[in-house]
Amino acid sequence: MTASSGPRASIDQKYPKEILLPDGREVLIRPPGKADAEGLLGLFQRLPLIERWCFGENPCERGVVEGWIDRHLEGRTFGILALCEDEVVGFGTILRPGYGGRRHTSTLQLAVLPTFRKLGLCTWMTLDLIRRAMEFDIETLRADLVMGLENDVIEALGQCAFVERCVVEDGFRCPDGMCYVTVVMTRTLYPTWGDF
Amino acid sequence: MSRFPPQVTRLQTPRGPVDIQSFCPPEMIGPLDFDPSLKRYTAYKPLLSDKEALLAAASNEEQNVTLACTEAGGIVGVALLEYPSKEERWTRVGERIMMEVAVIEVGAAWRSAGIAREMLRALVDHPLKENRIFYMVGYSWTWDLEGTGLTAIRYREMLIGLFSAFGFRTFQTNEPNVLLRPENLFMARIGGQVPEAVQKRFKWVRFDMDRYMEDTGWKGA
Repeated sequence: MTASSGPRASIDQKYPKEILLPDGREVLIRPPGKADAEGLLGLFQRLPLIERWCFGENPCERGVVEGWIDRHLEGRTFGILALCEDEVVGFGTILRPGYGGRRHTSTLQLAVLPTFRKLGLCTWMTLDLIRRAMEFDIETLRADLVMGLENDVIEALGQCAFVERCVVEDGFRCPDGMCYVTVVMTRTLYPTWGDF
Repeated sequence: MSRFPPQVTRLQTPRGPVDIQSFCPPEMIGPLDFDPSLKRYTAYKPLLSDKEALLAAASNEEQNVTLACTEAGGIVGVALLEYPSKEERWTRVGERIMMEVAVIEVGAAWRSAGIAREMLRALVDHPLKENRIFYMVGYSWTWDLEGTGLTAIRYREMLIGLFSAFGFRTFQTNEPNVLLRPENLFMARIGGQVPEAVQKRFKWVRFDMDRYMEDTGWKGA
């Protein structure tokens, strides 16, 4: 399946999406393409080191970012970029397990530049990823977040009806050895309305 | 009543011919009856199933009441294009700019025969379409999911497919009712003659920013 045919093409037709932030700035949301590696690297290079540490791979390595884009184009993940005046200011992704007992679930990850936080952008991106997850027949979205470091994302997910399922003491260790609590949040994606 | 002349198209369906008539005047609606499949029952509540509301809508100039009727005079489909009420945010875009596809509904027994598509075609084939912004809001709690057997997100996709064929696009908005559920939907078709300043205002209103822009005098990006 190429990026320009089949289900991926029908999803790509839904973009770009225009968001107006409360401070008047306009942001476009769209999926990434091969040419976006540089912009994505720029985003992560401007994130605080401690936030980059929240990712499982070093997002400042070109090969890592290119790998993420490839996985999106192959349909193993679904990603979106947030762009303001052609600059990548946010990135969000949901993983799509292709095999096994977790195929009905997906893990969500978000990164937004500090200067674009507290403006609802995380919420818009989350809402968009929720819609895509529903289209992929995902039943539960999950996010693993570090309390104290990813509070903006935790707040955004809470506004999008994610609930805290559990916390893991010392689930995250900083380069200096300091440990943080991680929180697992989930949202059930109901396919229809209940009878209540 | 509408100042535009009615248009009729005959559609052949597996259940017999259906006439799709746009700009129905009140005197034409009077003798018609709702088909039982468009009436309310436990798991399905049509948005518009009483003739009084139809007659009121048809009495408004420029609004378009489009009906799908059997030869026997039974209404099997209803569509309505109207101006939003004064308290709705969309009126802030400008005087008589926004028109809502407020209703498009086909009786359960008459679905999957292309009636909705033909009704929508007749509805938006409006003499003022290039000077107006037509919009629709899709609230999943009004969708007949049980009757169609679709999930909410598939129903949403079906609506997007239906409306996209007539130039509608999905737009983001922070309208609170739309945001209540992720599958809810806001789509609009911006007429080719709608001035750029009005389009910009439409964008501000979608995000409830028009008052902020006015207060600060900022022109936006």
